Amino acid sequence: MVRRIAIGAGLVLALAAPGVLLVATAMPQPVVKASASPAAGKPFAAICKTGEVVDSRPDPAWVGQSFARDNCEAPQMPAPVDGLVASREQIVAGMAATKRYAAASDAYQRCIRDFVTARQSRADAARPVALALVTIETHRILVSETNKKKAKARMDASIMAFNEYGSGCPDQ
Amino acid sequence: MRPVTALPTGGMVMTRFSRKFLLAAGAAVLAAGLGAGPSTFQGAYAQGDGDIMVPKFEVAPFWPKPLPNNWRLAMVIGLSMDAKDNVWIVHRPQTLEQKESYATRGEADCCTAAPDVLEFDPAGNLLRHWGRDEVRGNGHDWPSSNHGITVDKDENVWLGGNGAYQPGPAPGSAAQFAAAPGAATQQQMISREGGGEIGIYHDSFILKFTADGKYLGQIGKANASKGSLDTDNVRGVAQIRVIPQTNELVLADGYGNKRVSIWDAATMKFKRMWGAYGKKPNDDPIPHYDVNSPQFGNPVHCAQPSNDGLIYVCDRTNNRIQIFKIDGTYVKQITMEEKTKGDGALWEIAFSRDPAQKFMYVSDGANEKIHVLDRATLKELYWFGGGGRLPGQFYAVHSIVTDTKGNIYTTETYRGQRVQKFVYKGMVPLSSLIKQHVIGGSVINAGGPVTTQ
Repeated sequence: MVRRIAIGAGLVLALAAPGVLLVATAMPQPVVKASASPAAGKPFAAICKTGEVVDSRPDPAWVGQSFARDNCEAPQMPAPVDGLVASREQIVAGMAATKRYAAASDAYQRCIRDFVTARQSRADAARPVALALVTIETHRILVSETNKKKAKARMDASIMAFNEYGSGCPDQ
Repeated sequence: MRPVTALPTGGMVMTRFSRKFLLAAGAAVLAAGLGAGPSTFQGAYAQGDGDIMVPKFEVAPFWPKPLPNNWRLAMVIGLSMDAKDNVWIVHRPQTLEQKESYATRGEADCCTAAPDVLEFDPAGNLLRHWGRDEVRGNGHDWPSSNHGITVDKDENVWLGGNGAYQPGPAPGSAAQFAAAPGAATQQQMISREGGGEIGIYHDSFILKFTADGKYLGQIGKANASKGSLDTDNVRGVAQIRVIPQTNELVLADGYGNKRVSIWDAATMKFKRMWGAYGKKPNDDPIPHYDVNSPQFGNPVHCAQPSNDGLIYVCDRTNNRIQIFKIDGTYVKQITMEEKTKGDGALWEIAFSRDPAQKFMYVSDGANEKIHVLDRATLKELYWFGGGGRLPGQFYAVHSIVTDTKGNIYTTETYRGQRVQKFVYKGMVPLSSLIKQHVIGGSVINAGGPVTTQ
């Protein structure tokens, strides 16, 4: 009963405010187990820093419940590298980490797609695939893709900052 | 006394003969070298005792003559030699400091920025000068940051630019220095765009003028570049040179793009391009200081054609020179001063003027040297210069050209802000040059023996 209520609430929220959902889980976490009050007492607002949306809070309980048992683990986004102070080795390591993260994100998204496809293939009139599940899994793929692009853009900016030292433009 | 029988008699005779012969030959070469110019570069090798003959240079401390009108040079970032051995430079008037440009604002006698483009004769007399005011006044583009000049065989003048940002107030004006403290930093950030991000880039063009500064046309348009695969625009061109065999412009393209691009000098139409190793250019960001980088870094700072149909490309921040055929076929690369960070080591290249272009001179604005190489073997023979303010020393030595007499000219950017002439003094044994240690203000190979690649 509690699970049905949670899924229903998630569906309503997903359909009503997809933008909020994007903000809510901009940093994907490994599958979160349901807890009594995951984000209690904290405002549900994004932290914006130089155009970047960051929310490090765990997913709300209903998100965790809604796709439980998909066994797809979101990779951890690599730590940012400050190109202005980093050594070349740190930059190269950051590039490698970003590349690994992109590959892991692709695998994670494939995992979710396979999970949903498997569910759909087993579904019938008596046991349809829950719309909430599809919505939320799609949402997780979108977030993962967004984060993958964000990680690449962040690394590109770090490389450019690192390279700026030798750009030879005026006013330096 | 050493027994005569210790060496074969014939060998002793031959040895004596060889020394006398070599001394005489060496003296003849030296004597000829003092007066005959670059023809003496040919056959100057293979002297006695493993020593080699190399060109010697000495700075001309009073070249050029003082500029009129309280004019000052700012960052000098382009240099070209015309068919009459006249020296053309382009500098960045807006990079004079506030205290260097009092006269512009009527606050003191000294000084004001010279016009952007200046022509000197071999004696250092100023012949012609013109710049942005006339061109912009007629509604044409002008770079927000000048970079590179070339005078072609028809005496057309080509100018490049490497400004990502939009043109600012008039150089030296009160408005230029009235900006809030944070504004300069912001402009710095914009101007430092290192490539890879396809944002607006002002200097997406090169300009063509008559020798008197009349606008003739341009390749590309301001703010129009779409990146390294753009065939209509360029992006931060560092150097323009002409391939005489094909009458094509070869561009070090440059500060925004990561490519060499070739354009028809007559029609100004795009012809071809290539990236590192002759591959398709790629704008993905990649860190500098990698001699094995699969891409050019920014800036691609020189593209110097040789008489034998090669193009030498300075991948400045990767401390390497890549050599191509004029169709873009990759030939080989050399690396020098590999540990150099900052701006990188290899800025521009000039060749000796003998038909074989036996010697190659590389300006190194980070280590403040002119490297002298044997072009055939690409071995470094020696270097001269060193960092400092004296004549013959360098601060950010940038551009380099040679004239028909074998002389070298250099320019300096950042706070170097000058053009220098190094007079060819003939061919001398390398060992004697090293022993001299200092010629004019230039140090010769301080700190050890000649290093070779």
